[in-house]
Amino acid sequence: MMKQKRPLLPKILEDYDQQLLKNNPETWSARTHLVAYYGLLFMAALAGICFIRPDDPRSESTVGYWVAFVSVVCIIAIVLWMIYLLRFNVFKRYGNITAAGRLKTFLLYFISILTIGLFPYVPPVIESVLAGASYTSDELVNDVNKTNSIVCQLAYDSLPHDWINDTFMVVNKVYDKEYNRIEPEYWIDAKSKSYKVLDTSEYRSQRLASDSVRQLTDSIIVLSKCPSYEFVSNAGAASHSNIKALSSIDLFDLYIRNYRKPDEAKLSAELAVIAKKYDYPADKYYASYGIYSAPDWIEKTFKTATISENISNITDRKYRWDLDDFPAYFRILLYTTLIITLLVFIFRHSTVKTFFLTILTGVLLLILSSLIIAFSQGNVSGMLGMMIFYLLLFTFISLTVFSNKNRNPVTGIAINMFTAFIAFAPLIITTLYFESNGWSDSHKGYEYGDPRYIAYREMVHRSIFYAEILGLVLFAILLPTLIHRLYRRWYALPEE
Amino acid sequence: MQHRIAEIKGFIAHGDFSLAVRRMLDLCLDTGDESILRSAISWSRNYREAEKLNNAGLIAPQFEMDATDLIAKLENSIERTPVQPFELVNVNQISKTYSKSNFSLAPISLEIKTSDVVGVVGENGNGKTTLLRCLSGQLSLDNGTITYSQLPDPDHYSIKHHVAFIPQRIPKWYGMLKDNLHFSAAMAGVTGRQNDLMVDFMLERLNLSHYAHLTWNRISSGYRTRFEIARVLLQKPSLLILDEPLANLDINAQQTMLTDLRYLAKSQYHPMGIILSSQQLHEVEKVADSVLLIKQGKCLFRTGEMDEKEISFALEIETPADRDSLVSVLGTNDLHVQFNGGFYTITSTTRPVHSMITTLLNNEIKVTYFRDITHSTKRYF
Repeated sequence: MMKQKRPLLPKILEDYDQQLLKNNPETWSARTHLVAYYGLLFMAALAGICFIRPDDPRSESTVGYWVAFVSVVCIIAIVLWMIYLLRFNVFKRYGNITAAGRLKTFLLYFISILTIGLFPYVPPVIESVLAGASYTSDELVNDVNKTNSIVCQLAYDSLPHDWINDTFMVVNKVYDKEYNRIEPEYWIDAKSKSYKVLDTSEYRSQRLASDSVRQLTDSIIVLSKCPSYEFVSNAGAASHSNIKALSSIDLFDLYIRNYRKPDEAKLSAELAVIAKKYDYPADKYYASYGIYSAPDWIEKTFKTATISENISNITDRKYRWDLDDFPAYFRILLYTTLIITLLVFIFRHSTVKTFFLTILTGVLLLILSSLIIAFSQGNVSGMLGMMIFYLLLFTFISLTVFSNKNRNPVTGIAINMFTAFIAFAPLIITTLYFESNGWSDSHKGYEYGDPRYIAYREMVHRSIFYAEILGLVLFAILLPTLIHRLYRRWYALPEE
Repeated sequence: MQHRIAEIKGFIAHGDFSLAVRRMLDLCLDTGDESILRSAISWSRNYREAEKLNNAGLIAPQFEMDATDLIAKLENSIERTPVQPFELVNVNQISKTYSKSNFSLAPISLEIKTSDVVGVVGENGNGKTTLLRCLSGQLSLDNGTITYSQLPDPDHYSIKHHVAFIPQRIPKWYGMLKDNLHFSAAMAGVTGRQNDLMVDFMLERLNLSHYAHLTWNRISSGYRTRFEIARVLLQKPSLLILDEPLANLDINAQQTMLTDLRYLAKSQYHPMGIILSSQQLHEVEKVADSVLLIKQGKCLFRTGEMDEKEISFALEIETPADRDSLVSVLGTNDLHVQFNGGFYTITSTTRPVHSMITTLLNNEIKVTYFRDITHSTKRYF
């Protein structure tokens, strides 16, 4: 009888698999090498499909459907991996195990799940690559500048030529006696002239949005704004290009203030080329709600809505992985992987009954805590405080395993809970600290745009990041030391 | 070694090839010489292949020739120094009562050494499995102590690594059977080339090679027991505990397994203690160094110790003759005849068994089956 061969598995990996089986059974049983190989194979195939599938970078991205579909594949892949993983367990068979082996095993599970978790990132990455290859940032900025310039020249007669001026009175605070609250918008009649009254905070933000400032008196300010000539938005392309995107002021200076009659036929021809380049049936609903929506007649005459929307589609694809969004993507992947890995690790070191009792305990504690918070008019701090209390309780119960004579399900549940939550302890404590010390920026009295506000926000984000790192380090230290000993002791205890 | 080589030669000479192969494999393992063991495994494989073709004529010449070569190698090898038996487990007055039932295991004491085979017999529900599970560390004790001599300050994990327990209902294996064997050997520290060698040895030793690439669902329950034993033996436990290992085996397989267990217990490569429970009293008694009879949670009888106190002789016979005929032939003095519907059990304080059976035959009483159960636990059933 011949041995069954795994499909598409090269000889070298087959040999490696056998070598692991005979030398490192714990590593072999995690099947990480096979997950990595088949995972890469799947991702390569998926990338190939994404490359060849009919898709235009100018169109609204359908990657969400792909991500949903691949996520289902992920779930199937994890289930399949679990089927193989659960076949062999050195720990439950009382084989030779080491303390460091717990950490290694956890990391192997983590890598396996992370590999599978990367699947849904393939379609968006390929989309970004394709969009990047089709349109450079310089090209997009150039086309946007060119379109806006042409429209300014061709529609000169119909465009507003004067700036919009607003006069404000700036005071320290706007106080509404009736409602006893800060009210940012307030009108005052000063010497029979009506001014909008702004407090310093609102003034700062209004000033940032204006193009020119004139101070008439100590408190009366005129803020001027150039009419919008950005009929087509560069949708963030300018921040990735060395070419400057022309602002409304630039366009005003170039084509409105110093207007010269253009060669309309030539400009129309150039605009037609750009319109054709970005011509793709846009979603009319979304197009009409563009951020930089131009007047209807301009959109109809020069097709700026279509160009703008489709450039926006291209930049959505191209700049998906900008650093601003990266921490969010990274955290989604990291925490999903970490939570699944913790569940798998706990399942592998616990009895089936105790594992499911642990899940039930978690759900019941959540319900109980929510009820307590609801009835006691508690807040997030209360919830976080209860979580810390539970963690301390589980830690205490877990440690009783060293004096237990029998394998007690309650101790098993406590060990599972301790293992599941200890990595999050520093994060919970940090969050509780900021909650109880006025997490909200308004409690600090800082105004928007205040450098102290920015520094405070950065400090909060930094602290949370450090707490996350500390949690992982703490878990990595406790896993081969305390957690290893807890599970080793508990699982091997005789039954009642 | 010479004695064992002579024994193998005898088996070959009389055509007991299967037994010769098993004993040869044991002997080669005991030499500790990898090359000799590899040769023996290869020799065994050739035999199994030929046996599969069912051609005894083809087997004999080549088989004997290869055996001669192997024996020559063995004679030139250095014999491993035999290990003197030493205490493995000391069980002192252990007892167990289940909180959710009325059953209690009365205090039992026991000592098991390496190379010992201890049988535990008794009717269903009388505490055999409870005793075995207590010994394997699976059940907590109410009273008493179990001392594992090789583990000075053991935690429960070490105990369970040290003691292997094969339950009556063996949990299902997943994946290819051979992979499971490699895995078990590797997790006990048998790695690399040694892992391959020991798995091959165990497959040949227990005649499982033909099934190694199958899965659990494709083998019979008897083979499942044998694979489980192979798996556990590869983990090199010091004490092997088997709960009803003969339950799923045919009569020949039962005999083979029991003798194999006895040989494996007395192996010089890895001597160990074996405790097994069974309903097959006579088969167990043949191979066990001592047998414990458990009845209603109490150790009622122990061969080798308590039977010396017995003063009556006991004979079990199967005969078409009726009770009156038997009594009239054997006489009524101090004779007790009991009939269970199939067999007669005849006990006497004065007449030895050979005297009773001679009398029966001399009086032309047809005896289709008889067994001396004077020293057997059977008399207490």
